[in-house]
Amino acid sequence: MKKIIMAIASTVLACGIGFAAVGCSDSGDISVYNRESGSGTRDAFLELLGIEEADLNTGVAQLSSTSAVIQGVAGDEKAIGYASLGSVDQTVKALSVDGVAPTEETVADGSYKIARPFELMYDETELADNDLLAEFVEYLKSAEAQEIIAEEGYVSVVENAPAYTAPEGTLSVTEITATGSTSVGPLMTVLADDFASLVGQDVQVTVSGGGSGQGISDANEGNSDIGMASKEVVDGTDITNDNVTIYQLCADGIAVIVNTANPATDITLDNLKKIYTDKSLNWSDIGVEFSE
Amino acid sequence: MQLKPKNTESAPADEGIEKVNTRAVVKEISMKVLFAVAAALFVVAVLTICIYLLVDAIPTIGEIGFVKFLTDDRWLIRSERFGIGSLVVGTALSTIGALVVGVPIGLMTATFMAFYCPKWLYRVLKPLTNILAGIPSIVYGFFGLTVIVPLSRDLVGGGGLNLLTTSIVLGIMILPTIISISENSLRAVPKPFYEGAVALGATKERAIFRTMFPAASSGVLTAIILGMGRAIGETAAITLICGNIDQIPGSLADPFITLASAIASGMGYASTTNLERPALIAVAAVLLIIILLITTVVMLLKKKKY
Repeated sequence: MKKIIMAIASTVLACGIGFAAVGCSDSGDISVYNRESGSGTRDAFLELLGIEEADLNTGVAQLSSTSAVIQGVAGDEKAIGYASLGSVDQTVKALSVDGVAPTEETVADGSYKIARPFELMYDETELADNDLLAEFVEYLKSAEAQEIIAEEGYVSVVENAPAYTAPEGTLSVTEITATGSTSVGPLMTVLADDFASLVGQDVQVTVSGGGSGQGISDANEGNSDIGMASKEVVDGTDITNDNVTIYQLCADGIAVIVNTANPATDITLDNLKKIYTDKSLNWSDIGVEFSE
Repeated sequence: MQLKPKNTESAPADEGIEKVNTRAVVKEISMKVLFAVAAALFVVAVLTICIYLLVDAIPTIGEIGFVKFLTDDRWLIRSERFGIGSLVVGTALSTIGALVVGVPIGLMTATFMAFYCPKWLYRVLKPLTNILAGIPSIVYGFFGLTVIVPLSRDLVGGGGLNLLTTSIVLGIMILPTIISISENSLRAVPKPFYEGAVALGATKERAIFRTMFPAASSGVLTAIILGMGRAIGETAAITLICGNIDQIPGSLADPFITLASAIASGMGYASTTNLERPALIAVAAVLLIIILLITTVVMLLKKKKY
């Protein structure tokens, strides 16, 4: 019995190693990183590039968070991936697209091609009862919030925002929740902390993830006070609840990121589309030569 | 309660015994009922899970199309392509990989612990296997991500999130199950089996592998199959390190996806208004059926003595 098991085991192992040696040759040397199917960032990226999901080069990994993609690209020399501009850090390099660097200005004026809105959804009728929600919405539209949005690397879309004034009396509600896009989440957390310190009362805005789809359905069904989505939300199709208002918090560019060892600084939209549809592509095919 | 014994004391003797007896009977019955209720609750929980999943899954599978559901190898939630072909193959391959890594190491460790290990070392090894079993699976995932992924990237290239990495991490994860169950069953084989073999002139190794292992075969097989069950259902660690690509891996260096990791990574986004969420429940039902089959096999094996 034991011998048979061992024989089977070693045969499988040998086959596996054999496959490993042969199997690598049919795909190019670009390590393509994606988000998983259903992610708001992925939806936005594919839509902005005009790629059908079934044609997508799924690449080496489909990771379930922005930070996982950044981490993956940071550790893989031949990698390419995409992530929210605001969450890109020094560990990876953001490429220019068609000669336009991903900056706040280029995202705001629309010259950077891969950009998307951050949308918030809340129940308009709740504002009368829920004074904390009303106060937080007022804060989000204020100059203080716009400052934080800019500090965090996102692009403010509100012009001449008024300064925020803390409420006179004590708020009756002490906790509200915001759920949805994991791309909007980090920004909301920073905004919520700043809001709590400005209000000067013991209030809390709890931010949790779940994805844009979750944010939209939570807003529709009233499961959370604020739904967050990192893609355009359409009133009537996405939002079926008439009481729900959509408010654009800011705009976000999706940065195309590569490893810091990658010599490229710019990529054309065409080449980007090729990389994300053609599995056999090498870095040298689009004119990027690594110095070995 | 305290008054009652006094009453029984003042009453005639055999009447007292009768009363004590009825009280004992009442107590016994009430405890029996309590235990039965606990057991019933547990049965209800198991049945609810099974029935809920199957009832929810069958119409969904019907809507997707049974053949398409099983054979389509693309799993694209957003494009409504719900084919679990690549998921099933991925699960099977990662389980085989885990067994290839875990079974030889596990069985040899069990042999060592049962027959060769000095007592002082056993006192260290035994708690270690328990600790290994108790480590949350997400911690294994992080271990894989930070230690095994760079290794596998150097070894086979690509992103490092692949079948090789997953097999290694899963192999380590199933070790405690395989070690403790097979060690216990090896120890349960009566000593005379071993002594008889040695008395007939067998060496220690011969006695162990030709006498003890065949005698303990059902226990060893149970250990392997339970380890297999753990590998099939493992979610948290796998989601981090398998790459989540809906393809049938052509080599050890290719990323893949399993049934469990597809559910875990899709749940956050799946919408309830269309087929997305029901499809995930259908995948969960498939996973449940596979695990039920494995449990049945274990039950059949358990009928043997050791």
